[in-house]
Amino acid sequence: MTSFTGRILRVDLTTRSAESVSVPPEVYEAVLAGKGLEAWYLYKHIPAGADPLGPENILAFAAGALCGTGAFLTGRWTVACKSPLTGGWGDANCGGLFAPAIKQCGYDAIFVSGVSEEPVYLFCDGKSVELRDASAYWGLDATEAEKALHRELDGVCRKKPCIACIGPAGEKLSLISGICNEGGRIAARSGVGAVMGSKKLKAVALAGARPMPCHDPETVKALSKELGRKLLKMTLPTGLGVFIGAGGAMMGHLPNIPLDGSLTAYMFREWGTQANTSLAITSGDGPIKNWGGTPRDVRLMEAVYNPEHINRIETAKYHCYSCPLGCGGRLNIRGRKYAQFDETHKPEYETIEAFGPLLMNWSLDSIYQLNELLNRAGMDTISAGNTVAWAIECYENGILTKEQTDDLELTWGNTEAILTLVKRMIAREGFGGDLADGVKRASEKFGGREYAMHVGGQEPGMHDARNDPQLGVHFVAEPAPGKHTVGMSIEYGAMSLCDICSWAPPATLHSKEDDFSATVKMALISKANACYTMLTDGAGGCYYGQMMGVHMWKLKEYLNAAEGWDFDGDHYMEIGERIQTLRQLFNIKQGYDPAAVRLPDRMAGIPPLPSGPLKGVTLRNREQVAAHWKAFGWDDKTGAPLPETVKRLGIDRLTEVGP
Amino acid sequence: MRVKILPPHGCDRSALDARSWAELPEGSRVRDTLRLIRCGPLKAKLLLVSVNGERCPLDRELHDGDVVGFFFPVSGG
Repeated sequence: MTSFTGRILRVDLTTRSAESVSVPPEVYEAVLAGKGLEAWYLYKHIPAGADPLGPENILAFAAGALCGTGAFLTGRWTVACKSPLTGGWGDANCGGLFAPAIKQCGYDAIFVSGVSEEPVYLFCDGKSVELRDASAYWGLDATEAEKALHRELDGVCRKKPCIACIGPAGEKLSLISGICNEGGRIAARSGVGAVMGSKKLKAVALAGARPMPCHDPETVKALSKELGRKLLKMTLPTGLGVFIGAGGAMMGHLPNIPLDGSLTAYMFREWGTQANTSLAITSGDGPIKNWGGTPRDVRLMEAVYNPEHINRIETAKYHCYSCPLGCGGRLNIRGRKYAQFDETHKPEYETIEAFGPLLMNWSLDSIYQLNELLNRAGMDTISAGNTVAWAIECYENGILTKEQTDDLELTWGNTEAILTLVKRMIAREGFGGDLADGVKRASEKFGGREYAMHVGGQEPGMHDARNDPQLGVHFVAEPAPGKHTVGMSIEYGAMSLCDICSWAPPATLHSKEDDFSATVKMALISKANACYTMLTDGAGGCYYGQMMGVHMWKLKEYLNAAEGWDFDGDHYMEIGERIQTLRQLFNIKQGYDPAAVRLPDRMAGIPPLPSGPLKGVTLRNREQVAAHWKAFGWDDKTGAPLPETVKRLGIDRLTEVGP
Repeated sequence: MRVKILPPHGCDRSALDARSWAELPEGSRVRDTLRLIRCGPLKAKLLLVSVNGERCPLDRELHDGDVVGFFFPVSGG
């Protein structure tokens, strides 16, 4: 027995049919489940040139290999499709309880093709699969739709269903929309919400109660017990967050060192990802003023975004499935300025940075409101923030007039204008409607392309590649460009991958300048980061588990126990390499040109910033990307996987088996 | 026995191999690793110390394969 159910569910919305199909074991051994299974299936089944918003596109929901085995930090679900935002591979992932719900229905993944004529939702309880009328829910925001579906289903299902749904942004085909679960948590990236909206699929409700298999649950349990015991002891004294900004300023000037990754757990347990905000502002990691500013432009803003302010109004922490860390939280925002809601999720770092320093916005209260608005709408806060930043810079430079912005005074830090613009983006009204498809489309219509920060069509996550050039490599070379969750230098230094992988270079004490070189060593580091991240995604693991390092979150040991395998680290890294290569092959099949993807000049340090921690930095990104591709066995000029690499990884055989 | 040591900024790494592992005599304690990386007592007082991801006192005995991490809480690493 392995941890896989061995079956997938295929749903065709056009013919209103569904079938359960078995998947051969060799597929799981090659790519695990989660993103790996999706890469295998979508590469085979989405025809070249498919319209991302048409019936040929397939929307996949998948749980990872380790989900349900008892392994900690493995509750992520991944949604994948052809991205309408980039025209290539698209994926996003999220936590909560939806991943085990997929498996409890008896499937490793659900693949939805076709287009429905009327709004529907997919219901599955592990015995029956039904497409039900969703016209009563169409138009509701994601949180309200989920509540309404629970009112309909909770009493009649044996088990309370888990629901993933879109909000108005996805319904209106906003290319920066995502898919939400559990009251506004969101798989936000790649425009996956627009694909769901184009299919008229409002929601997926899963109420199965089947057991989730595992080869050796006792060993898995022992690994989790050891990890849990350590994590539960990781507490910090209240109030320490006030020093984080100062720590960031120090980090901006110190050389990089290998870290004990387990210690990142302190930050996530105490504050969640928002702990990074004040550190990012002062260190050069967080973009300021549409990626063109320096900490001097927002002097003392780190005090506004001190994580202790946010912790103070936290009413409850919450955990994803199988997570003892609990980086999420609920905030009481009743009565706060701008608040239309009583509560919101604790905003993630990405959201705070994208609507705070990036826009020179000093109002933390407005971030709470924006966070809840966008979560309910199902719109990606990273993409939305980058797009608003472009609009402000265009307005400040006379590219946009007040007539064009529908009378909005779009100046830096104008909180009221930012809030109004975001509401109009969600409603797709006037100028806001033009911004709802992201910064690339907006700049193609209005100009100001030099201020449009996107990579291959997708707005980048809130980490500056001039501070960490490894990020720049992944922003460009990642098959879903612009993603910040593939690899970073600081993360590499914390993971100790060299202790499980023979070819992963040891992390060493080194100056920041070393990270700018396009050496074989740097290319192997970026490759190792990407391979391990793909492995984590195939397992359904959490990025923050990964960050703790291989000695703390023992992914290799978990997989061997859960599947009954005895593979070494090199074997598992090859699985990650195979997943990444399949995703890149998907791009090549779809006509996506990796060589045409570039960092915007500003993000590459052209011209370099005149002051601050990133003063004088210009990246050698093209050279680093070429070296990264070469390390993967892909053509270093085109980014296309070479035939010998495809053969070495067995992908040619893999695409001939199974459904 | 072999122990992985992840020193903080400003310490001597010359006794560690390329992967940050060091040979220590049986019965060594965390305090001995501080001597190995030439970390003074004042600096040591400011550090969070962990073995295998678990905070511990400096007199904790080490075993083969242990990972010893040091961390300045206010530096982010």
